[in-house]
Amino acid sequence: MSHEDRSRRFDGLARRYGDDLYRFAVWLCRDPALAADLVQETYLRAWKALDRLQDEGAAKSWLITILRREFARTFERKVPPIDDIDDVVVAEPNEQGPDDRTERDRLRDAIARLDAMYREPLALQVLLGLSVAEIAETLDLSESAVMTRVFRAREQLKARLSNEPPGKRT
Amino acid sequence: MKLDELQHRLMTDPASAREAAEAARAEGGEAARMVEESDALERLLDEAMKVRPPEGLQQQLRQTPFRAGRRKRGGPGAAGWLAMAASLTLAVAVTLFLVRDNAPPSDGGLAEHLAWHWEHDGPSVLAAARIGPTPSRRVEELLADFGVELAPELLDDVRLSKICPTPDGAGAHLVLATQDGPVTLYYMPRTSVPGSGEAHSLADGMRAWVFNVERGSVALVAERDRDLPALGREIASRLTFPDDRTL
Repeated sequence: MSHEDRSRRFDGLARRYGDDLYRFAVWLCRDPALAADLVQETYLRAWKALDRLQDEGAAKSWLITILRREFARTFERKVPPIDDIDDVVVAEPNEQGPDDRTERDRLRDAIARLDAMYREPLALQVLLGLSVAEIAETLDLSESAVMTRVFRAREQLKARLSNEPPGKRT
Repeated sequence: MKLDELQHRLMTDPASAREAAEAARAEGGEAARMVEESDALERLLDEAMKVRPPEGLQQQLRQTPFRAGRRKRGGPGAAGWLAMAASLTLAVAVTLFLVRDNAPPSDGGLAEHLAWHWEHDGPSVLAAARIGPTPSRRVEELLADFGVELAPELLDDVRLSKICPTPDGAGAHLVLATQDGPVTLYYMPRTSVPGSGEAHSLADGMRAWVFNVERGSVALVAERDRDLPALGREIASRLTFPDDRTL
């Protein structure tokens, strides 16, 4: 493959998945600056290994795998403590006003406080549109374990939004 | 479909439960209420989780091949198109930075620029720097674009590095961890000040101390009671300028 073809192919990956991978990284790291670094590192590694990606249809899973591996390798230890989350995740420029933010920000706060074992499969499902089977393969879990985790994630979020303990609502 | 089965599907994989949800909606009653509640949660989840990517992220990702090539070819001193690509990357990054919100003052001089720069992102960059050191390799790469190297012990103290505007083009914005607390450092490759250096008062009780280095100048920003000239001398002794690249 020529350098131009390779660059064109890579460009497509950046356009198609860059934003969603960043969002996934934000919820993995719970920090936008760290997430941006993580995604850039992911794409750098993807560029170097691009020839190994044979099936274009598997590109999304391939990038997610690189990102998760990179996160575990160097970024995980830098995740900020939970007390700092309000400062870094919730803030977003150009908001409309306090009323628009309330419900969404409460949910963001609740998502950030979810245990990673619930937060990660939920982010893969909501942000990257992965099916239960794909999440199971990505996280090396059984499908029933994935279903349990995303169920509990939603259950906890609903409970936190309504200020009820998890499990009380159905 | 039983209500508890419907609820389970909506809570585990709502995207695959669309048909069941439509049927439940048509059925009305408790099933329809469940679907409405699920729809509302999914809308809110989608909105909450889809945080806005930083401006310029796509552009930076698409420039990865150039960055990778520059690393492989040895960094500072690499000539030709790689240097041009690096410069272009920086130019795009700086342009994006400048147009992101309020642009820096164009002709107000160094004092006005520093005041603007600090108010623009000084506190937020300091806050972001709390998460831990930026990988040394990343700091080295950024500074290499300006032809600057940090001594290893100083490199270890860098908590965050980014490109930033200066009164005379692109520069580097670092946060250093010191024994007395974090210090912001702006490297301005094309800006110089009178030989003895100069101080400027900034918002939030902060002060900037600007001094010349071999090429350009450095501004240190910290609380007013910090001995920045002493810190400046220490930092100056740990900067080297291995090539004459300027941006």
